[in-house]
Amino acid sequence: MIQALLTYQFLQHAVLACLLASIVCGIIGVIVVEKKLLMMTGGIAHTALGGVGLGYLLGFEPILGAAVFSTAAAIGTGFVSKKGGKNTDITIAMFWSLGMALGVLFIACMKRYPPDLNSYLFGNILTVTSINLYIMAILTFISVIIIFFFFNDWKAWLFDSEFASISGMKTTLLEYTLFILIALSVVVLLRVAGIMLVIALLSVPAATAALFTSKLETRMVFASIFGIFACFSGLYLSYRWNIPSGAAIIVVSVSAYLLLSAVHAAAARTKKHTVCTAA
Amino acid sequence: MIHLENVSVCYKNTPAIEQVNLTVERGDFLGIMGPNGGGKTTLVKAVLGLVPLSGGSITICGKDHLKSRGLAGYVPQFSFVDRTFPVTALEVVLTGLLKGGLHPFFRYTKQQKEEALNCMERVGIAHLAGRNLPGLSGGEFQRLLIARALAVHPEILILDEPTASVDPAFRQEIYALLGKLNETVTILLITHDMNAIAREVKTIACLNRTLVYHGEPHLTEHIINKLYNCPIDLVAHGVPHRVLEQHEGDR
Repeated sequence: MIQALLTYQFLQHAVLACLLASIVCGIIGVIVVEKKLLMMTGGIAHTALGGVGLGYLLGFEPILGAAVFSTAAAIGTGFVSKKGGKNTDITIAMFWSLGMALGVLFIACMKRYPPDLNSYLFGNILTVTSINLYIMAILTFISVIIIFFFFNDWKAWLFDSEFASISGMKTTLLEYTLFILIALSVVVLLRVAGIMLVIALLSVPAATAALFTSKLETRMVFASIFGIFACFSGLYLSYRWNIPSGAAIIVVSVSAYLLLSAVHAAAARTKKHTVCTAA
Repeated sequence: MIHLENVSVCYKNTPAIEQVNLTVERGDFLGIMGPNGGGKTTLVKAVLGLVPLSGGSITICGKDHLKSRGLAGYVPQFSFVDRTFPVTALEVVLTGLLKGGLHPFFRYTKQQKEEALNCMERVGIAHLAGRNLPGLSGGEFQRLLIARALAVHPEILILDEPTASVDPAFRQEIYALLGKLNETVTILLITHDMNAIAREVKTIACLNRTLVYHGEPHLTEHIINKLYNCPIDLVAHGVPHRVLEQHEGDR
C-alpha cells in the first residue's frame, strides 16, 4: 500500500482527508458528546444533502452547498433550542427530513444524468478531490483556531453555562459559534463518512477517549488519535477489498469501542475486587 | 444595593413570580423561603439575569442588572450542575476567576491557582484540588460550588439551598462561613432550613409567587399560613432567638 500511496494521488488525498477528519472529530466530537448535542448534529448533517443537491443542480461545488445548508440548520435549531421547550426535537426532525427531501428534489430536477449520491450519503474517501481537500483544510483550521484560542472560555461555558453568563462571558456568542462549528465539522467529515455516518465519527472516538481520561484537553487528543486509527484502518480495508470507506471506518471504530469498553469494564472490576479483598 | 420593582417572570403562560417589590440593602443577609414552586429560584435567577423578566425592573448598585454582571457569586442547586464533566475540582474553581467577555490565549497564572486553592481551603476541600468531578461526593461537590462562588470575589453572594446535601456538621460550618463573609458581602440565601433563618440571617423574604413577607426574621402564624397555604410545624432547635412568634397557648 505504501508503494500505491506514493504513486496514486487519490490515495494521498484520502490520507490527508483522514488526518483532517480525525482532528475535527476529536475536538468537536468531544464537545458534542459533552453538550449532548448528538441528535442536533444528526439533523444538521442530514440537512446538508439539500445543499449537495442544490450544488449539483446549479453546477457549483456540492460541498459548499452542504456548508451553507448545514450552517443554516445549525443556526435554526440552535435558535429554537435556546428558546427551550419541546420544540427542539421537532425542529431537528424537520430540518433533518426537509434537507433530505430538498436534496432529492434538486437532483430530480436536473436535466442531466443524475449523479450518484451514495458517496455523499455514505462517504467515499477514495474520491476526495483537491477542492474538497482545500475546503476541508480551511474549515479544520478555523475550528482548531477558534477552540484553542478560547479554550478556557469554552471549558468554563461547557461546564456551567449559567455561571459563565453571570460572570459576564459572551455565552450566546459561544453557543452560536459552537453550532456553526458543528455545521463546519459535518462538512469536513462529509466526504469521509457520509451524511448518514457523520454522527458516528463525532461520537464514537469521543466516547472511546472518555474511557481513558477525565481531562477535557486530553480527551480531545485521545479522540483524535482514535479517529486517525479508525479512519486509516477504514481506508486500508476500503482500498484493499474495495468496500465503501465510510462503512468500513464506522465498523472499525465501533468494534474498537466495544472491545476497549469491555476491557475497561473488566479492568475496573478486577481493581474493585482487589481493593475489596485487600480490605 | 439590589432593587426589584414590580418584577414578574412567566414561563410560557404560567407566572412564576408576580409583582415582586424588594430592596436588599448592602451588607444584608437575606433568607428567602417559601414552598416548592413558590418562585425562590426564579427570583434569584431573575436577579442574576438568567431568566428574562416579563415585567418590572431590577437594578444592582443603581445599574440595570444585565449591565452589572460579574458582581455576584452564585451557588446553584447542585443537582442543576453536570457532575460528570471532565474537569478537575481546581479547574472548576478557576472558572470563578474568569470575568467578562472572552479571553483569547488565556492561561491561569500561578497566583490565580493559589487564589483558587485558597478558596478551596476555606471550605475545607483543598486536598481534593486534583480530583475529577465524578470522584467527589455530594457534600464535596456542594463545597466546590461554594469555593467557585468565593473565587469570584463577589459583592453579592447568592446561594440556592446550599445545605440540601451536606451533613449537619458542615451545615454549621457553612453558616459560620456565611456569617463571616457577611461582614463584607451581601448575601441572599434560599433555604428551607429554619436553623439558618434563625441563626445568621438579618432579614427574610417569604415568597409564594408573590412576596408574602419581607422584614425581620420573626414569622407570625398568619404569614406562615399565607406562605405555605396550610398550618405547618416550624421548629427551630437550639437557636439564640425565636423565628416563630409566641403562640397563644404557647406557655
